Amino acid sequence: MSFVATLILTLILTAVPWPLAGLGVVPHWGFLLIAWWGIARHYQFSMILAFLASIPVDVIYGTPLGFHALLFSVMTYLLTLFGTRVWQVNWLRQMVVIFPVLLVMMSLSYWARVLLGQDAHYGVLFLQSVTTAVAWPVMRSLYDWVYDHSHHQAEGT
Amino acid sequence: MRPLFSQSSVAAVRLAIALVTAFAMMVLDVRVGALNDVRLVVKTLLVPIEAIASAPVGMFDWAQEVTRSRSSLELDREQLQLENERLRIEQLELQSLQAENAELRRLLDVSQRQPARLLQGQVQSISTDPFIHQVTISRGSNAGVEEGFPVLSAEGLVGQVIAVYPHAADVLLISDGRHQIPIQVQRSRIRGIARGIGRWDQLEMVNLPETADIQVGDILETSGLGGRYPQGIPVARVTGVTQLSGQPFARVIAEPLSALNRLNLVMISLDSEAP
Repeated sequence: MSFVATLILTLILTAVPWPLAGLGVVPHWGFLLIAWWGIARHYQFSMILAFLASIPVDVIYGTPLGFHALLFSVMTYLLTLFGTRVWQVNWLRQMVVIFPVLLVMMSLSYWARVLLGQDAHYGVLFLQSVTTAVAWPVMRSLYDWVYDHSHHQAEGT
Repeated sequence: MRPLFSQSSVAAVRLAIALVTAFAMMVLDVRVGALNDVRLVVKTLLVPIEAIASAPVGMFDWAQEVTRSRSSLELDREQLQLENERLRIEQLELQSLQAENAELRRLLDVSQRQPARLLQGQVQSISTDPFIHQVTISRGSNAGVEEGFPVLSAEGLVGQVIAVYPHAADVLLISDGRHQIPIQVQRSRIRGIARGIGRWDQLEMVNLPETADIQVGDILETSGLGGRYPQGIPVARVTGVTQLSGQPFARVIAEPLSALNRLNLVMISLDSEAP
């Protein structure tokens, strides 16, 4: 229930029609969802959930099905290695940890896009990883709120 | 007792399975098109989410429309009247030219061209991926839209339908890096291929000999080769021709005639020659 609520929030943000000129600076909300679940609720999260979340993200972006499954799976794996230790530190340190993970994701995204025949520019992906990391503190709080709200509702409190 | 497999090795195995599955899905989707039904179901489930996401923009547009002043509306009305007059005159000229063309075709014993059947649609959403130039329009298989149908605006070619749902369709725009169009120069009838380069305002003509008769300002139109697009749809205007030293081909850049980044109403041509 909580996962579905946070996924819906992510999908809404992904589908918002931002101005086309500024698409490169819009954070990748999907990565933030995976980061939050991988760090904050890693004991409830699995690669299967990451895989399932990737399918609607692919449909909204228009990317081939499986494209974000590839990225989300790798991100989930990376976060299982050290994500559990990150939750205790403050948001600034979390940003510092998330940023290199996002850079790895964007590099993988660039490579997959080139394989798929897209005219991808690494500079745009780099910029997107910066804005995604910057959006982390706000999204972290938002996901916390959505999780608490949906969790309490599910428990009937 | 120590576990036989560590936590990280279990995660690595899961990752390997996920990666293989993801690759298989991409191949099935891109090369075989076997996941169209999955896309259709998910797209249908996402309709309310996309409606919520675009609601603020819709409300902003509505508020802008409501708060427009009377003088602004009168000015618009005058401009539309002038435009209407101009179009009526152009239509008269066009009717005369069509009659002349039909007579010439009859004399040359060439079969008559059928007028294109067009269906109006509205752009519902635009892909927010910075490298994918794709829109979703409000007409789908229920309205007779099929994969491969060309999509036009009042100015020229916009793209082609790549996925069809009952009430919507995905359109790949001509500026997308995966899109290529057989075109010809309207003035000199030189043929070539125009491809998107991932920029809303630019197309590139590939493999055009440097001696080709093409210049800045030339209009590029569909050549009809390949059977995907009917012949004669305006596509772009040439904005740059560069002769590269030591290269057999010229670099030709053109600007799409349709404002691809501001699409609202589009026309779907129901006469694709595609199989």
